[in-house]
Amino acid sequence: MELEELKTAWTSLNQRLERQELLKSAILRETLKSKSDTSLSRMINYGYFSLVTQVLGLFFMIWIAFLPHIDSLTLEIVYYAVMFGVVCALISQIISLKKLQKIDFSLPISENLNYVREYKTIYINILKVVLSYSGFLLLIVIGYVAFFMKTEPWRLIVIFGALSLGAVWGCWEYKRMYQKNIEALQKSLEELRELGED
Amino acid sequence: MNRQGQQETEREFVDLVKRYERVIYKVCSFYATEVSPMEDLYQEAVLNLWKAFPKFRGESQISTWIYRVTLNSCISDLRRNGKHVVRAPLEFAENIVFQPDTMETELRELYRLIRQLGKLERAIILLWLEDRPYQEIADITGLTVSNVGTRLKRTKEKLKSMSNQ
Repeated sequence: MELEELKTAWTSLNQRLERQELLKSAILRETLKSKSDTSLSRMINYGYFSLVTQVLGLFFMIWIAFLPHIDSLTLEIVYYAVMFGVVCALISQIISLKKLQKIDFSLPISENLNYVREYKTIYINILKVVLSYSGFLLLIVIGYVAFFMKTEPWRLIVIFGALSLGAVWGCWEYKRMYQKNIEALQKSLEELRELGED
Repeated sequence: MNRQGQQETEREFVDLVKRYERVIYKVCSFYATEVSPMEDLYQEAVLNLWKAFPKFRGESQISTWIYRVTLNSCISDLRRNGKHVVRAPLEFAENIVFQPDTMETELRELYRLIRQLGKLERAIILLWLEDRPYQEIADITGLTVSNVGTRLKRTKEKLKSMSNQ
C-alpha cells in the first residue's frame, strides 16, 4: 500500500465521519422539531377544550340568571362576580390561544422562542389572577353560607373540601398540561437554536 | 467559582467536546485495544480534557490542545496497560465509521499497519494524515521541528516496508 493510498483512505474516513455527523444532527433536528410540534399541538388542543368548557360555563351562568332565585343582594353580587370571572377567563383564554397560535416552525427559532416566553408570562399571570379571584369568591360564598344561611358545619366542610379539591386539580392540571409542555417546547427550541437552526 | 460560572464552564466544555468529537474519536481509534476499547479511551480522554480545561489559557490553538491532551491520555493508557496489550481485531475501527459492512479495504489496511507502530510513531503519522503542519506536530508531541521531520520520514519508510511484506 502506497503512502498516498493511506492518505486517500484517511480522507475517505474523514468524509464518512463528516457525513455521519451531518446525518446525526439532521436526525436530531427532526426529532426536536417533532417534539416541539407535539407539545404545541397538545397545548393548543387543550386550550380549545378549556375555551369550549368556559363557553359552556358562560351559557350555564346565563341560564341560571333566568331561574327563580333567592332574593338576596349578597348572592346577586356573588353571581355577577362569578359571571365577570368567567367572561375574563374566556377573554384571557382567547388571548393566550392567539399567542400560542403565533408559534410557527417556518419562522426563525428566536422569534418562536420569544412567543413561547411571552405565552409563559401571560399564562402565569392569568393563573395568578384566576387563583386569587377564585379564592376571594370562595371566601365570600363560604362566609355567606356560614353566617346568613346558618348551614350545619358538615355541609360547610363538604363545600370547602370540594372547592379545595377543585383548586388542587386545577394546579395539577396546569403542571401536567401546560408547565410540562411549555418547558418541553422551550427546551426543544433552545436546543434547535444551539444546533444553528435559525 | 460561583454556580453560574460553573454552569457556563460546563456548557463551554460540552460545546468544545461536540465540536472536536471527531478528532477525539480518531485519536482514540489509533490506540484502541481489546484491553482498552474505543469507548473507554474516549471517556478517559474526555475526563482528562475536563480536568485540563480550567488550565487552558488559549496560548496554543484549541485543536493543538485537544490533540495533545487526547494523545497523552491514550499513550498513558497504553503505557499502563502495555503489559496486557492484546492486538485488537479491526472491529474497533469499524465503530467509528458506523458502517462496518462498507468499510473500505484500504482503511482496514491502514489500521492494520498503524497498529504495528510504536506509541509516538502512531501520534506522528496520525497528525501527518490530519495534514497538521510540522510546527504543530512538534507542539503536540513535544519534539523539535527537525526531529518531527526525521521521525516522520522514518515512520513513513517503516509503513511502506510493512505494507510491502
